[in-house]
Amino acid sequence: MQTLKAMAPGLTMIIVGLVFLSQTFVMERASLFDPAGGSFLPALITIVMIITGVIVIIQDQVKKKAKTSMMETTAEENLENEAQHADGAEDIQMTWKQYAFIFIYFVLTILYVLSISILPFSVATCLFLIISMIYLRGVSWKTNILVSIGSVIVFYLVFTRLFHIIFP
Amino acid sequence: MEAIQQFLIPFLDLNLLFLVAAGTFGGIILGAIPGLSVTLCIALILSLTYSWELLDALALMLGVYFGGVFGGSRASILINMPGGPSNVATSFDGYPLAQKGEARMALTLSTIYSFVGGIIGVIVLATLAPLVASVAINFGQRDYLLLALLGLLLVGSLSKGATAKGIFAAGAGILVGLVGMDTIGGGARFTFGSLELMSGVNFIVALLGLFGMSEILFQLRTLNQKGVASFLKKTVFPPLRFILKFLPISLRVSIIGVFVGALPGAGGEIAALLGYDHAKQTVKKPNRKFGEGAYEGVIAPEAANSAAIGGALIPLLTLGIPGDAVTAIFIGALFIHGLQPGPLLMEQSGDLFWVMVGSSVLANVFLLIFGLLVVSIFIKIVTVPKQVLLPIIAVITVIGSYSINNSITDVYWMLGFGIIGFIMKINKFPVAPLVLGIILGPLIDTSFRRAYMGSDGFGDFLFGFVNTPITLILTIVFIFTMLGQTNIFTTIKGKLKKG
Repeated sequence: MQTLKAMAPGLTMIIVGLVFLSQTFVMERASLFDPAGGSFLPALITIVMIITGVIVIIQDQVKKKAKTSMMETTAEENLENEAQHADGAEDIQMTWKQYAFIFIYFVLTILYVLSISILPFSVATCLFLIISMIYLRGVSWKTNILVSIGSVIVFYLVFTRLFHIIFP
Repeated sequence: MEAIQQFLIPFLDLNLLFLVAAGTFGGIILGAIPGLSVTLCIALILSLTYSWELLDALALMLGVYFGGVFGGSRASILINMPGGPSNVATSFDGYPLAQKGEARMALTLSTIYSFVGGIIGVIVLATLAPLVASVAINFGQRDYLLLALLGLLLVGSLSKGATAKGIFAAGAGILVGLVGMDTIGGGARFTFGSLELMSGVNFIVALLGLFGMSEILFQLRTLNQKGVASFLKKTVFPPLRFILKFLPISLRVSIIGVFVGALPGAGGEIAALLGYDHAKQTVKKPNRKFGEGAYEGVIAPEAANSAAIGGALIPLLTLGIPGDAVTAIFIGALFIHGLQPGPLLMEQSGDLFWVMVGSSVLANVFLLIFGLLVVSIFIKIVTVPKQVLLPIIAVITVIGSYSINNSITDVYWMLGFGIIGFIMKINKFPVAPLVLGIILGPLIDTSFRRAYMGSDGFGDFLFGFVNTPITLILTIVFIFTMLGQTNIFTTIKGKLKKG
């Protein structure tokens, strides 16, 4: 399970490469072996992409090994450097709670886009802003309402007058 | 003579003058907010100015570009949270200065020398670009292919310790750029059987998703991270002699900045770091140690990152190769208005070039004025809570992606790219090569195939890469850059050092 998790980015890269590669086979009016045709270069690129996927898997394995061997020798020191990789790049660590938090906000945004087709733009936007700020917490009721209504008015004026945008 | 007339257009045309001023002011404000990148702002502006006149749109975008890169320094100095990657180096000494009660001094110096750097960048742009264009006019299909690949490679490799992921992202970008009807052969490519994809993926929608939506989601992780603003003490304006003392160092780092900016793939971020490093190496007696509030430590990165903008515009306007994500958006703006960026651009629409140079100078003048006059407002701006900011940006991103074609479908595409960008960011895949790939993909495809069609078989095609001087030089540079990415090069270097 641990190994699979470490290999996930590389595997995804390979799968994406393969999906695109499969598409180069079915292209119309293009021969895979004619460099002047429409599918030769894309196929070449997918192969490069698959190779980078393999490289990433190997790199991640090496890193993992280095990490475990480091843990054995200097367990205490490692605690401090846990977030740091050998190459110095910071590891982005997120909890499931954070993922869920972000995912729900993303769904909220999708709902907002859906609601634009049903409700008038200004109402939908105002509602979205109010609900967003409640969901993200830390903003008082007064500020929330003021900012939401204020921004909708500003959006409306700026975008219709200055940028000539027609709202749905 | 004609050039001077065109150069003066933005100064005399009230409409352009206003747009540059508004762009610069807006850019400073938006750039000052940590988490709101210049790239995002310019992508939003592009989507909103879709129906505008080209010069109007460019004037606004240039204002935002200069203002945004500069504005980021406000947050670096005041709350130790860089407004953008270009301003990371500014916080090294800017924040310590603010803590010592010299925030206003740091703000003033960085403003003045951003202006100096910006102007030097524009001067180099105005002198070098016509020269480069006159050389580039002889470029063939192969040369374009090599340049575009070089740009992609550099952007991919500069992403820290993630070369393979960078190249992957660039490759995926090219493929996404090729989605739709094949312009040469006429067949459908990567449409997965969908009729809607025949016209291709709109790159502005991709841009808004990858830089806008994904950034919003990414910022949600650190919602409660807040900077503490330092207080502004009223101090007198530093005497002119004191300010002029830093002119030599600012000139040196500006030159570094321009050339780093002109390299495809390296932008203001690296320019600022190199500028800071140069100052650290060469300034013998700073007022304080570097890192503890040296004036040069604020001046150098700000002059360098402003100068880098002029540099970044050189390959954009002469070769049609964007150096970074922001200039990639400019390429998109030119495409939208039916212009083909490249050496012919200077010949066919030279007025455009000089108007852009004029607007850039103007943007720097406004930057100086706003930077010096409007100070106290920044304390409020840089501490606006993300809870308020992020929903508002989300709405603007939605409006922006809708407004391009008045289509809700585009908005869903934008959301899709947003989630892809977010997943990429979490797994440390650089996003910029993907965007560059989408934009350069069609160019790479057509130049490759035309070069092949123009040659007699595969052997002759390969020979074409070495039989003219320009192409030969580009090929050598390309091979060396490729080798530079691999471990072989570092091992050789290491051995040489040991030996």
